Amino acid sequence: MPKTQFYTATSIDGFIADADNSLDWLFEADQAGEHEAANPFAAFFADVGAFAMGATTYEWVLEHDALLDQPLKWADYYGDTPAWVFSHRSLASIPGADLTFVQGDVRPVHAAMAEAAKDKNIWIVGGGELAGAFADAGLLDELILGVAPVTLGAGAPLLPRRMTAPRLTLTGLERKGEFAYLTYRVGPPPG
Amino acid sequence: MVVAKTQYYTATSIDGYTADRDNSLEWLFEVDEGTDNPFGAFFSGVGAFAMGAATYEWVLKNDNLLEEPENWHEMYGDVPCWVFTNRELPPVPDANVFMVSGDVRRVHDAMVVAAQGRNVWLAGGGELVGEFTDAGLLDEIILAIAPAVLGAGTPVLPRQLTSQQLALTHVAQMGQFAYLTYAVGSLARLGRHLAADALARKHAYR
Repeated sequence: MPKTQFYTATSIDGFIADADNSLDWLFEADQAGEHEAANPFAAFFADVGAFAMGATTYEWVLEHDALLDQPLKWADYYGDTPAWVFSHRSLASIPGADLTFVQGDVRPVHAAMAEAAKDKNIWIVGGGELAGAFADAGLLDELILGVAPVTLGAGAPLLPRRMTAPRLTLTGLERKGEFAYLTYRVGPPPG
Repeated sequence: MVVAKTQYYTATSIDGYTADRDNSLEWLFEVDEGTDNPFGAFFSGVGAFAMGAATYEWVLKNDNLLEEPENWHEMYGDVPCWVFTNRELPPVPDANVFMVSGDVRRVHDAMVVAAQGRNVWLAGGGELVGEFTDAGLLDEIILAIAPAVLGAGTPVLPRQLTSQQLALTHVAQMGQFAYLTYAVGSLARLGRHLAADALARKHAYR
């Protein structure tokens, strides 16, 4: 049974980007320890058949990897796996990438993604508000958090919702270098 | 040789809050803690502890300490506790509690003496622990992460600590809690084994 998974790196205090919308702290942490070699992302992504992200995340990827100048890098990262980008604004498209720009209700988009993914998983890249919208609709099955050895004190929140036990169940805890990987099963919303 | 540390041991949500926006811990008490909550073993190594005013007031109320002061002794025995406050707070009758304010360094010195070679526990909140961190006095963070996201509340540690200053030294699951332990400080960058050695030297020369 394929799952819809929010897989993300986060600080110890639950921020996925710092107050300047930067991830420099993450790359530093990745290189400082033994995490780079142990990073489980490739194994995770091998089972992903479709993925979605919000506008801020998309723009960050676009800028960070200079994808408009070097569009082939997208395929290096994500192959031909189709991606959906949620945005109220008009965003630049990456030539050659399988991108669908959408907005509004996550449910019909999730249905389209599930059809495209077939028997593979759906990855919610971020940000937290988009993951929250999937959770609100009862469409989120799992959280996989790579906790970096960093506190930020402020920034973009991991998941700006209230979800407590027993809706969340810890199903995995693993150390990879200086990162702790926490996996939670997400139950349906109450009521 | 076991060497004394100053440790921040706390429960927290996944998203780094130690209490929700109503200053409640209900989300914490409904979590399956397993058969062997490690707090007892942790506290048996503690020789002195400190907390902020809001934490103290929460404990007072939650454990009904003004009417049942014996509850304090059941939890903390005679281990001395320093409460940082700028306000007048009611003392728990017959409890070994000192009300203090101001510079954490001076208080920490007194706590280390009182602890007699045992550890110093910082119970919270995050802002108080942040002041110890700023003064370079925090050696270890032990987080009991509950399976909950809260979205808002009291931050676990409202500071910026980089991967140069934190090293993950231990992970363990107990019931539904994930326990993460970090070495803190410039020593963290030396790696966890070296950090343990260096901490020993630092304390031995203190």
